[in-house]
Amino acid sequence: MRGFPGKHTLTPGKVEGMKRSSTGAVSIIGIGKTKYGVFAEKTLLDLALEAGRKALEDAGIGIEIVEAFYLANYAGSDFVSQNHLAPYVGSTLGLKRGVPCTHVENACASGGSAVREGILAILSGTARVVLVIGVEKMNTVPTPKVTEFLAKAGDWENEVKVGYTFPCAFAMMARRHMYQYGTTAEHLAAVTVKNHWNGLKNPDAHMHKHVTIEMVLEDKRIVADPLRLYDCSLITDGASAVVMCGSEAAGNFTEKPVRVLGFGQANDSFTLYHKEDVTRFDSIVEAARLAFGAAGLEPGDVDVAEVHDCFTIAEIIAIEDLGFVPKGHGGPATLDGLTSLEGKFAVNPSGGLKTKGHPVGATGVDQLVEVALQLREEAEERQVRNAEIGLTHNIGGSGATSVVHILGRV
Amino acid sequence: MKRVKVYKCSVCGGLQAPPAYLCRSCGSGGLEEKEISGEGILYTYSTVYVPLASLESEAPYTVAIVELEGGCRITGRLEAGPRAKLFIGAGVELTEIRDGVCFFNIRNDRPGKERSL
Repeated sequence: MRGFPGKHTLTPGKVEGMKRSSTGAVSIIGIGKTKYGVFAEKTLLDLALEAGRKALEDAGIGIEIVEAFYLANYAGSDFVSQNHLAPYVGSTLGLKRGVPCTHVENACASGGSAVREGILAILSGTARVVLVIGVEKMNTVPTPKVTEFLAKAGDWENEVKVGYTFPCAFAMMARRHMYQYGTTAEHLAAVTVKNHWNGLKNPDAHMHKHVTIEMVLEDKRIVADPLRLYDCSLITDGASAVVMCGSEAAGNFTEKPVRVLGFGQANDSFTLYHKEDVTRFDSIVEAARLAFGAAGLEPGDVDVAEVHDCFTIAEIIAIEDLGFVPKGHGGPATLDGLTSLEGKFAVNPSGGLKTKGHPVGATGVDQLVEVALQLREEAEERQVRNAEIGLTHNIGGSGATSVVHILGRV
Repeated sequence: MKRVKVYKCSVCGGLQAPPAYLCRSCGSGGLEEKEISGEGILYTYSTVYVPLASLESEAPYTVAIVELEGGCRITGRLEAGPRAKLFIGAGVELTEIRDGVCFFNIRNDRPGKERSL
């Protein structure tokens, strides 16, 4: 059956008389996502439409009141031979004629960047209600081809041509992190074990598999040494979506709006070898500074975070550069349980990119979906207790783009 | 000894590998091409077992970031053979530039010293 059963125009009255945002605050009023996994029978369009429809339903609105649409996708032209993706999805979803549809591509940070564009559209007054969908359909080609498509986010002429892949990039960071700070394979395995444990509690996750540190350390499947298969995120099909509006109107739509307290996006050297120190992402440090500054908060205020664990070492670097732990302490902090569901600050309760999966364009959007679920106390088995402040952290390439959002219960 | 082409800043003298438009150290323009020695040390490296589709026949292969004169870093391939001892700080030298890719090997005369934490 094509299309979706049920009523498409739910509550058009809610937007009449709604003012353009004037308080400088934006709230998430609807979230939606598909299951994450390998879905041979579903097209990119199927996935995007399902996530978008669920987010609109969650907000209790019809598509006709959406005034701007952003579509995050990394490599639709490679994976499914489709370009011009934003109006492709938007028009099929039933957006009113005349609504601007914009595709955002910032490698693995496409999703976070698209959400930020949506926030800016509301703050600028050009749109009152914004829909953002992130989607990637990746399981259309064998793994070496996926690796090659993903590698296009690196510098072809100076890195990729040499044989550099993203597992290789993060492996080179890991080796240097081990050298400078004494990080060990056991520390990396602690990230794997935690995110597998959390993923077991997430029915929408791509992978449900309990692993132990011993199992991870004994596994010999090396992808790019010192990183093994268990250090790598998954090749996933999936889509996620959020609906946002100015905070003053959010109460018209939902009893549980989630407010964007701060956001930041920053760049860094595009190439890995030009970074001053490959164990640090200056783009994360700057994006976090902007987001925490706007929110008037500090890292210690965060109860729950979804961070970009494309590889285990990336989560360790992230919790350091976001300011949760001092530089070099990310591995021991994870092994000590500081970032577990019951820890001082829960990191990747969803299972992260590691087990929830990493449909590249969807990832940055889904991080906000998960944190919103946590702040709405709807995360069921993986609910972080008393979660009031949440953070999302999304990176592109070897850190050339970083996007941070800080969300709060209102 | 093979040499490698990089850019030298005419203001601060800083060296950097391409791509370059302005000096990454001082921000000024006026970069000049300069050939420097292909001798350096391993800054970091990884042996790739899941390669790009186009390099499947060459896997596993080792990618390295090498630190050359003046801290100038470059990404290249390390062809040291299966028995070579690789470590951060190991001495390497440029052996060949093939299709624009720099190939390095371990220097047997100056192997460098492995640091333990």
